Amino acid sequence: MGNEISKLRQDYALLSDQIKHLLKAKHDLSQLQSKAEHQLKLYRELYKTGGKINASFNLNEACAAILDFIIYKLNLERCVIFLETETAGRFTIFAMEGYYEDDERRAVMDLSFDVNTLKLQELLPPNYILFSDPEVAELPCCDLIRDRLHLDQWAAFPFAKENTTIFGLLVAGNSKKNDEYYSPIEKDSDVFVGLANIAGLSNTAINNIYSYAALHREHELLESRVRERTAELNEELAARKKTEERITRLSLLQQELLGPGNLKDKLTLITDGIVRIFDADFARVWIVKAGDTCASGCVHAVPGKAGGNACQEHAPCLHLFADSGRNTDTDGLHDRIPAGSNTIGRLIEKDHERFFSNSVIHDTHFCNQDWVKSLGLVAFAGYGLFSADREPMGVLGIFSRHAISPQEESHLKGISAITSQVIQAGLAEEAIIQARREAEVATLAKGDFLARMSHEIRTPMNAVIGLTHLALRTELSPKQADYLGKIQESSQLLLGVINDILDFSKIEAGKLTLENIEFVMSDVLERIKNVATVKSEAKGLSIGFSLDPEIPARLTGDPLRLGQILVNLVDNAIKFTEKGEVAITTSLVSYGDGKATLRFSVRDTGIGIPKEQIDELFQSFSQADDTITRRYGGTGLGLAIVRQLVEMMKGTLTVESAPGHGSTFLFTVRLGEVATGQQCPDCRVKRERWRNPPQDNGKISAGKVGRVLLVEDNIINQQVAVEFLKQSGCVVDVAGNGLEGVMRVCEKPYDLVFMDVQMPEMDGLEATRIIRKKGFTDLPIVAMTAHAMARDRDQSLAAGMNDHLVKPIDPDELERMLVRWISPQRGILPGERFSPTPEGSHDILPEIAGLDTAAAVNRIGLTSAFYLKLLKEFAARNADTALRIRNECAAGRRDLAARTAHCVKGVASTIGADELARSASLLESALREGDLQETEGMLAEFCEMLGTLCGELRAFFKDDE
Amino acid sequence: MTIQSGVGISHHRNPQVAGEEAARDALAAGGFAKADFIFAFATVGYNQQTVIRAIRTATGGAPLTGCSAEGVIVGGEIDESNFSVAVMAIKSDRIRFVNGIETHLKQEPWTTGQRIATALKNCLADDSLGLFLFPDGLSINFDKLRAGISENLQSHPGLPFFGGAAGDNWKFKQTYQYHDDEVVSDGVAWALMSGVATLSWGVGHGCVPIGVEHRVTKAQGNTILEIDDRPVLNVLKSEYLTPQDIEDWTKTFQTFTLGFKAPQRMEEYDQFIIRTMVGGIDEVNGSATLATEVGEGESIWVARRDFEKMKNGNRQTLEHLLHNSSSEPFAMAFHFECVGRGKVYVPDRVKTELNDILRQEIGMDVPWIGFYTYGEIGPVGRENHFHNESMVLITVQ
Repeated sequence: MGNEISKLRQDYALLSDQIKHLLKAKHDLSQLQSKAEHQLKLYRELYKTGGKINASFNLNEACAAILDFIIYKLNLERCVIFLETETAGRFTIFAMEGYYEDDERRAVMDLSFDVNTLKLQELLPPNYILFSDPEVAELPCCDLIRDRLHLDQWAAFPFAKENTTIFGLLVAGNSKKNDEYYSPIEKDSDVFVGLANIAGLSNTAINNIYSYAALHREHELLESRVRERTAELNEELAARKKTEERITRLSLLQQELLGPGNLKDKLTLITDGIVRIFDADFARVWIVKAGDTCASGCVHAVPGKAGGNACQEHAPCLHLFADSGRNTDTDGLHDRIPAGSNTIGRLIEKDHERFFSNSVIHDTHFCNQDWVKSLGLVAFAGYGLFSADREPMGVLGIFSRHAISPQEESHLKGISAITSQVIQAGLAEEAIIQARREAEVATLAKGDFLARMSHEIRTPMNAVIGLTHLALRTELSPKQADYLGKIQESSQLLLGVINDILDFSKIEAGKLTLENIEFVMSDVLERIKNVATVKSEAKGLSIGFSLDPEIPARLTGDPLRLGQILVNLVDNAIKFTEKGEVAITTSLVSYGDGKATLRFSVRDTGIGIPKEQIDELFQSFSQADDTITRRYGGTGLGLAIVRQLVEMMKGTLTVESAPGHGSTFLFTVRLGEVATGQQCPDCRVKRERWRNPPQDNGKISAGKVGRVLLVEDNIINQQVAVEFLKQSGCVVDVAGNGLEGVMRVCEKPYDLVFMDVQMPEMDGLEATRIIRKKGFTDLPIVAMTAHAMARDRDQSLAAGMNDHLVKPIDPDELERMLVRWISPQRGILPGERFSPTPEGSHDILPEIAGLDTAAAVNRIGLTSAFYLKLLKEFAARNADTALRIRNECAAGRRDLAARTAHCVKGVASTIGADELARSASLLESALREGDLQETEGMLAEFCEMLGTLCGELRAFFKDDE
Repeated sequence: MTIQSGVGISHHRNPQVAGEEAARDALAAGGFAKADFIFAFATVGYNQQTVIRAIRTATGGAPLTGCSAEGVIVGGEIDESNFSVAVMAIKSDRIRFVNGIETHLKQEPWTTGQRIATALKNCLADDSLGLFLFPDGLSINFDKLRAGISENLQSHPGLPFFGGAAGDNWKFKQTYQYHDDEVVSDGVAWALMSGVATLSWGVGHGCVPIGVEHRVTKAQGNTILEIDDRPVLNVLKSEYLTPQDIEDWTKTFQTFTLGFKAPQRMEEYDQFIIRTMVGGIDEVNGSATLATEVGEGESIWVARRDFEKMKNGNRQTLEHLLHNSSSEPFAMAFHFECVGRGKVYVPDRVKTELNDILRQEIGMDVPWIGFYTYGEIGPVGRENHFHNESMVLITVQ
């Protein structure tokens, strides 16, 4: 039993021992497990906190996370983070936790120390200070930590930049009085390991934060610089844009200034533009008014007067001329400013031409501060405006409520220069306009004078010449005939001089215009021949005219002036030739595109002209020399007028001459060509205005007369005209004025009316209008007037007249009017008054088959005599034409043959040989197109027709030889 | 008629901030600005006066009862650090509280109980539901205290007592009891709950006996002088501690508890009533002081903590509680855990698991407050008992 008990006790002891160890093991395991769990939890928190502080770039956030870990996870009582201040080596509290009593907390917050003083400068990671380390007690920092941070158990970990220079300190620990509630700081404990780890992580994180902060600062600085620079650039850009805009608008303003407008408009454009472009308050331009000077006693000179400006006696005054912008009440201060009287007035004085201020309110130079204040003005820019020769013209003033930049001021200065130019140009333009007005008035006066003179001279001349002409037709004694002949000659000369003077005056006044009417060159030459032949026969000279048949039959131009040129040259030729001949040649230079250039040659065998005097020949009032003037007379205007007329006809004038060997005057004119059957477009109006004269077939039948009404107020002119008309075989009635003329027309039928223009009661123009209104639309009415200007002719035509006859009346012209306007069907025809040709006369036209003489004369207006001459010349010139063409064809010169055929075509058409003309045209085409067989046939036909016609013509003219 | 409550917790080291934070969070969670009554528990790292003052200020001076703790429990959060404070704010027109505090617990536990009973007489009513008691865990003699209350409160013999002994984070130096602005030690803070509500409770422990049955051969009051005629310390050293443990016995003895056979009337509870040697072991005479009276001749076992036992205990506690609860939703829950079931002996995950077992059945959102005590107070059957290594759960509906 005892053994059993003993054994049981042994078993029990063994069992108990096993249980003890099992329990111990279980407990230890549990403890280990708890410890491991605790460590794991701690490291997890450390990892989480490490992640948080590394991810943060904010020092406050990082420090808060560090403190949170140390206090709440490591369960330490207090923690403080010192960081270096801006003062190197000086550390102050950056973050703290665990000081909850106010006074304690305040004391800790104010804590700072010098790292050198505490000898911590060499404390670098991973080194640290632990309170329990023996050597630590010697360190100066211990006292601070214990006494100032109230830590009895603590550890301090440095923060250092790249582990070279300490910049911070982390101190964590517990106070003795509370340490039982906190984790003890024991080396190698989990708490210490955690603390060391968090300190290490903190060091890295804070370094990163500092680096990031530095980078961020740099970045911010850069951003700030970029922003500043961008703002600067934007400002510059905006300013540049504004400047460019301003320049564009200024450029547009300049463009506008180039447009039409008077000075006021343009200066207002400038002031408007300144206000708009520069955002000025208002802009003004003053102009120096010519002749307006202050005199002593003027209101501006009264001292003490409100708003008065002191002025100098007789100073020029500026008048406000253009004003734009805010409508300010300047109480009349700006309306009229004497020079030198104030800032504005001084701007037209030398050395004071510019005034610029951005603080006018404070600028004592700127007068009248009250006015400036009341308007709130800040800036003023004023510029004196001067002409090119430095004469003061005005002032440009710009008033602004904001400052004007230097660039703007430079632009304003530019505008002031432009304003000066505008004023100068404007004044010059106004002067030109004024001068033009005066010139126009003068020209008008001159024209009126010329018209009056023309009328006043021609009217008595008409009487002199007309009566002399009539007198010469009466029975006279030889002496009477001699005297009257000389009178007639002198009066013709005088008329020529008067005409030259009037023409010259017209040319000088620019009043001479050329007609553009249809005419026949042969008519012009005929008229000249009629006059020249008499003169040449009187001197025993032979005179000859030749007309190139290739010249188009009908031309357009001014036949009167062309005739005047020829008359002048021919007269000179006759005048300066004592013996021999004068030959006048007309030839075709070129034609085409409706234009024909003719060359005229007037050759004489006279005295000739020295070479050195040829150049002056065509100058006004010039003759070759004084001896010529004394010997031969003349005004010297003739050739000058000739030159002017030739130039007006787009021609040239030359002379070939040698003393003793005669002279040849050559000139060309450019005329219009009217093709056969076509009407000259320019002449269409004339044709419409000129009523087609009745056909003049050149046949005069004796015993038939026309009833003519002469409406003329002048008794002498009445007498002259009536006599002319009666001698022409007309029955003449006379009316003394337009009214009477109208009544007479209404009472009985007339074939023709000669109507003076200037008459009392009713002038000729009015009378004509009334006559036409009364239905006498077919009655030919011819103006017979001393008004020789082109406008007079136009007025006559406009009134309804058919033609225009200029006084003094040329009997031949009168005759032609009768022939032109009195219809044969009406009955009474005047007698023919054509001058006989030197070669003899042919009143009868040939009747030749293939030659329609009547048609030629009627269609193209040829006179019978000239037509006969033309026929004779045609026969003479084409005697061998057929043979020539055949030879040219045989020689293969088909083009030449075609040209010859073309020439014949033109002339044949002119003389009324229409069939021959058609044959020539076909031959020409065949020759040009090269069909030999067809050419032969046509050539044969052409030659036969040409030969037959020429033969008939030679036979016709054989009797005259 | 409602019962509103909310709980808040703070771990802030600053006692002022911690108190304010926990109080504000409790009010906010409850959804009201002014509370009718406050329960507050705080660990001893804080200046207790500062914490309580902060809570009182933040809650507008609402009546407050509580004590210091080894750790606090708020909902699913358990904090056994030296710096944690838990607050429950209650606002209700169904239940009401009357609170008070008595001191001189160590010196005169019965008289202290008598004084509590005297105070209760003026406020007990037919609808009184239970008495919360928070005695000083270092000076508690619960049996005498209970006797002092019960013997002087004949009108309500079945009034249940709930609560826990104040702790001080294993320092065993000084605990604190709170009543409104007062903070005392060696005292008992009490609060009587009355009104229309259903209180349900359960008690469970997690210790299992190890070794053989021992007998208390010599005892004096709540001190066991000898077991099996040997000093307690000798018994522990010789039979339950390894040579290494013996060297550090001042700590290692705490791994053991003592189990007493539970009376039959406590059969619903467990076979054993567990006691810790809360008063420590006298190194000189080898005696161990408990929180309750010990009778000579009582069978005694040395016991140890068993996690599975703990979990099962929680489940049984729940079962008992739910069996006695009504169908109304739970308005609040009070949870008193023994320090022996805290961080020192139980890993966090186990603690969390134990807590979750309870909350998952009661409700994760039910306002839940508690603390780690130096001894739990809760009825078993119709008797109020003091427990060690236990968990007491009370719900209010």
